[in-house]
Amino acid sequence: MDNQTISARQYMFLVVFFIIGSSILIVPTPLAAQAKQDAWMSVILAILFGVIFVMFLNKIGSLSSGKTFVQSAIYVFGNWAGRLFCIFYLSFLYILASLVLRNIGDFMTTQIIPETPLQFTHILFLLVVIGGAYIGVESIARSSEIFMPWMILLLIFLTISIMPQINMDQLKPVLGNGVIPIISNSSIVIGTPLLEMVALLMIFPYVKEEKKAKRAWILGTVFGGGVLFLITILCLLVLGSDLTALNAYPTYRIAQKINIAGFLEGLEIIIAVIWMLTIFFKLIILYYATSVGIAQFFTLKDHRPLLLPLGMGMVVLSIIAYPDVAYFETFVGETWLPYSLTHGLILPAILMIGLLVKRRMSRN
Amino acid sequence: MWATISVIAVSLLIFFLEFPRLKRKKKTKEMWCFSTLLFIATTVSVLESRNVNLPNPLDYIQAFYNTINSWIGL
Repeated sequence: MDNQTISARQYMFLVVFFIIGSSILIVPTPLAAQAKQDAWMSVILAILFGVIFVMFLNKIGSLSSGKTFVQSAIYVFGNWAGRLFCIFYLSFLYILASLVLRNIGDFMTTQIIPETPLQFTHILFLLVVIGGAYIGVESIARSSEIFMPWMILLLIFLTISIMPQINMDQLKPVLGNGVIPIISNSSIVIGTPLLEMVALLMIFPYVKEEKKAKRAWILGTVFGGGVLFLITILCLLVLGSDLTALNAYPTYRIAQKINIAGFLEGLEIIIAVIWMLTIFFKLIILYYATSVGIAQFFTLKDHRPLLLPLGMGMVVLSIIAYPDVAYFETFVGETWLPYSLTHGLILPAILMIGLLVKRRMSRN
Repeated sequence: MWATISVIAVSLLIFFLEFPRLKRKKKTKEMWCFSTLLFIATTVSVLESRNVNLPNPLDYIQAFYNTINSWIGL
């Protein structure tokens, strides 16, 4: 735990990166597979849920008054029950971080550098992340300020250069399958980036002004969700719902289709910078949250000695996590939503009840 | 073989990078946590580099939620 603070705007950028990272790669495929051409409506529904969910997390953030999730859990439930509670939370963060690492590793090995073994991609990516987590949250937040304009520019570039290939007929028929698939499929977006935001409760206490931080969190959620919406609808408009569902990385596929005036092609790697950046920030937030959480779990003053051993374990976990693509698809499709629901919604809800009871008791 | 040797070399490197710093500051608790975590991570990595089939935590998570789903009847 170090004495660092970040501003509300930097926090907003971190939230945006956190939402876009890794879900930009894995969300459009299952959405288009099930909700077909109406997948974009599911994203809008999910953003609405996200705003309500962030209000709930904001409430916990202000109730715990400057304590992180782990600290307030130990404060509320005592030394043993609180620690048991934290084991669930921290294991969720650690597993999530290794899965995010696996996402970028899979993407790189299948699309960009197929000859490099998966381990080395993971190790190289993680080394940079460990370096960032070593310096602390202040530098992470400042670098997010530097990279945000790049991401926005690249997104605008992608949107404009793919404009000529947009076919509005791909969205028809609107509501062809009724409303039910749209509602049930918004759970994909809810499970992948939104419920994971419980990790940000470890960073929330570092933000200087609490009131501004709350607004920044909601704004960041809306903005990040907007980018997901843009990416999903671009995939649908350019590829159509069937091709989007068939491609493992439809966003990369549309970047490959960029063709400016017949002579400028092959720009996909420049566009891929978007997801490398966003996944980098998501991973660094998760990694920092995990290591600080474990340090507070053992009531250590410094989280830095834990970074390298945790990284070694994470490389192994990320490699054994998914034996093959079919396993990945069943896990993300069937198990991830209940898993993130219990750890992202029920755990914080229990903590919030505990905090409310504790506050009432201390008042009397 | 080379994978195992390099894993052990890396963990020794990490140990000698961090441990003297902690020892100088006399942080006993940090020293224990760091050493235990490093020991676990090294063991797991060595087993992985010897191609031992490690248990996958995601299997347990999946089995757990499948049982719960079958209780609820989904």
